[in-house]
Amino acid sequence: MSEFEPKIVAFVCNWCTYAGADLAGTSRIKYAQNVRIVRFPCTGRIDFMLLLKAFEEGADGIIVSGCHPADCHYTSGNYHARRRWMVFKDLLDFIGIDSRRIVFSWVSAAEGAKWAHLVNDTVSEIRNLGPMKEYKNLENVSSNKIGELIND
Amino acid sequence: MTELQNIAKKLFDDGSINLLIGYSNNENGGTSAIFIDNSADIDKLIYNENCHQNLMVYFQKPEVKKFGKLAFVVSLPGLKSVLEIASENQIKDGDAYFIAIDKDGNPSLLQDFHQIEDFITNNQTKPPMGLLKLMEKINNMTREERWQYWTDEFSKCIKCYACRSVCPLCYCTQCITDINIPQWISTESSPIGNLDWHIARAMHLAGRCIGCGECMKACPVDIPLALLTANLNKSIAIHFGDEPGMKADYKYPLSHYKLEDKENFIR
Amino acid sequence: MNNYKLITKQNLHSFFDALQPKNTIIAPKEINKKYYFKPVDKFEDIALDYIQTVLSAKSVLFPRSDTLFNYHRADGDYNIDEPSPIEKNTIVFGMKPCDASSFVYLSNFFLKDYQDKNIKERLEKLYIISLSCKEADNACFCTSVGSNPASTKGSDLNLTLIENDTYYVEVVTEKGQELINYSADLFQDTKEIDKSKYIANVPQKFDVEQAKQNIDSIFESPLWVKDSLACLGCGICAYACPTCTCFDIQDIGSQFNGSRVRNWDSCAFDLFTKHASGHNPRPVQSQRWRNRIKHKFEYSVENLGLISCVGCGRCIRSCPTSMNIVKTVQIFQGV
Repeated sequence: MSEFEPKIVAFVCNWCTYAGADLAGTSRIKYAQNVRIVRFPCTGRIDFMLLLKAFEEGADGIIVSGCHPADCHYTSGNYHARRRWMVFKDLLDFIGIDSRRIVFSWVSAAEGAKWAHLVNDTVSEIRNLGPMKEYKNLENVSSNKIGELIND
Repeated sequence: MTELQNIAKKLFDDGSINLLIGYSNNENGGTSAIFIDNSADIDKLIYNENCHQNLMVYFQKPEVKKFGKLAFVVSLPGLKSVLEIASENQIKDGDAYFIAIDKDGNPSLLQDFHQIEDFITNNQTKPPMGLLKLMEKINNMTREERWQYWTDEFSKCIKCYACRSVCPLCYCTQCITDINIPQWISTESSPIGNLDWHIARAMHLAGRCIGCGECMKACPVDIPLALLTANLNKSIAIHFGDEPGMKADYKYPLSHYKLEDKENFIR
Repeated sequence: MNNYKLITKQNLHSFFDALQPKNTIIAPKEINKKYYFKPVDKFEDIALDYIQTVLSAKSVLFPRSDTLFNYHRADGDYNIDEPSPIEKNTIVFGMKPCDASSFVYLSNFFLKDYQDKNIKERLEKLYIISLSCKEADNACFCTSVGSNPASTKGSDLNLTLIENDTYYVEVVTEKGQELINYSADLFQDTKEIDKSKYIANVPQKFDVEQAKQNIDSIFESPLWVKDSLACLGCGICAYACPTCTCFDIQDIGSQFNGSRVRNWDSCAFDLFTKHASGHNPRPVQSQRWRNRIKHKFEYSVENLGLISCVGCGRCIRSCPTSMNIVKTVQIFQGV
């Protein structure tokens, strides 16, 4: 059996981390290919529903990254995001979703190398955690089996 | 006439209100909301320990608003929701009258938010022990057990949205679950659809839930819904030191920030 | 056909054991002092002395979410498969006569004009063993809608507890006889007996013919608003109701694979009538409540010749704001 290759979705802000990832590319820094980047205007835009959708669609891990404090293009988007993540992480813990699968970070436009490290670290951590079975075992559509027709 | 009825009658006699929302006995031996639009019905107005519904849920119902000036019979959770709603600019000082019921069951008329704040401070009660115990029990489980516990609970959900309807703070004119482009929360009651709905509901009430527990009482399949928001409020109190429903000028913790907020979890 | 038998409680246990291996058995089960229909394996798990379950047994026929078909894309083409709607014969054991009669309405609704495939297959494999009511509560009103606590309408077998832990069994249909044949020697033949002294007394709360007429004639009335001020627009009444059949069809998935699913819907939701333009012909709750009442006593009579209320009282018991369909009908009775 081939080794488990984690799927990582990265939600990044346009102004810092996306540019940082770009810099990693133009600097020809090699990093794990497991990441799919989704660009957002700001970390303040990254709603918790997006993270849930990523898990639903089969992500094993998620990176959420944006500008360092005091660097936000919109002044305070990252501060708001920071609070939201804190609370959301606690909710995930309470429900029993492994919050280690979501990695939060600040990567500036100048930190191409940090981005590469972040992706590599995340990939190896998620590789150790294994596939996100729990979410995949949840069915999207109800089954027609008679025992389950009764909503219990 | 009881004191409660006297206060209500006076409001009608003064012409201060057009509609009073309180409690009365119903046909099935319980209590339910009564909508009194003239002083003749005042003798039906009661209050006892069975009157649990949080009547502030009616403050934005279009057909209720049409009546004009309103008065509500509210106990502690109801008053907390008044302040929370006020902090979200949905109700202004003097918009409505509140007949507050204190912990001994005595009514008093409150109108401005300062009076309500004082009343709440003087009438604090402990949250129900059962809920705290269950919360502790879940927090002591392993992560896998917690996941099992909640997926089992959520699997019961039939998505009747009673939890949303009875909540005085779920007053959005369009709920996220009713939005279908894109379909954030799938409409069927499936494991994923139910999980999405309950996470979204809890997150949207994080730092806003005043803990009346109506969602849990309304749930026909007994999902301990209030635990989710209670636990979120606990983490908000730990991280930011805020508690909803205590002050009319409360700042919603998720739309404010401090430069020194904790960030040791961010790489 | 109608023939009459007796069975002791002990033999009923054996009867259950005879049925169990070959059938899926759904029966009321107690969970935290409330009752729900659940699949059961053991006779001991069945609650035989309950008044009413929280949710009805309609989901045996018409589940909360029913997959109509799955699709997936392969080799540039779409493959469609229809999951089998029911595997084994299914017996609902111990549902109340009001619920059993709801299946008459349900089968009419789903099979009259268009024969719904899933429902039809399930109905063919469905057996109903009803249990006459020993007890009733304030919310029960079957006698007001033309039924009674020992009605055999919709049942295949009806059990009534009479003296000495013995059940009086009415074999109502061929399907009922089929069940008896699993273990016919457990039953003892008897004559028809008068059940009335063994069943609950449910007072009549309104006259259904009068109610139909009154509700038929009143569309615009300030009473609709006055009566529905407490209603908050959740779906409990419709979801608990054994005869509410409104549904919403959704495609779930992507362009590569997914399913078409039929979900329950409720006329109490504002989304129920909302147009794509954003216009809502029923913008306020009183109009939605009016629709619910008029559907029960007027529209379904027009469409199917049956009222769609069996008097189980579930909507009254579970409404978080104590909305009461009986009270509404009584209000219009007095108009």
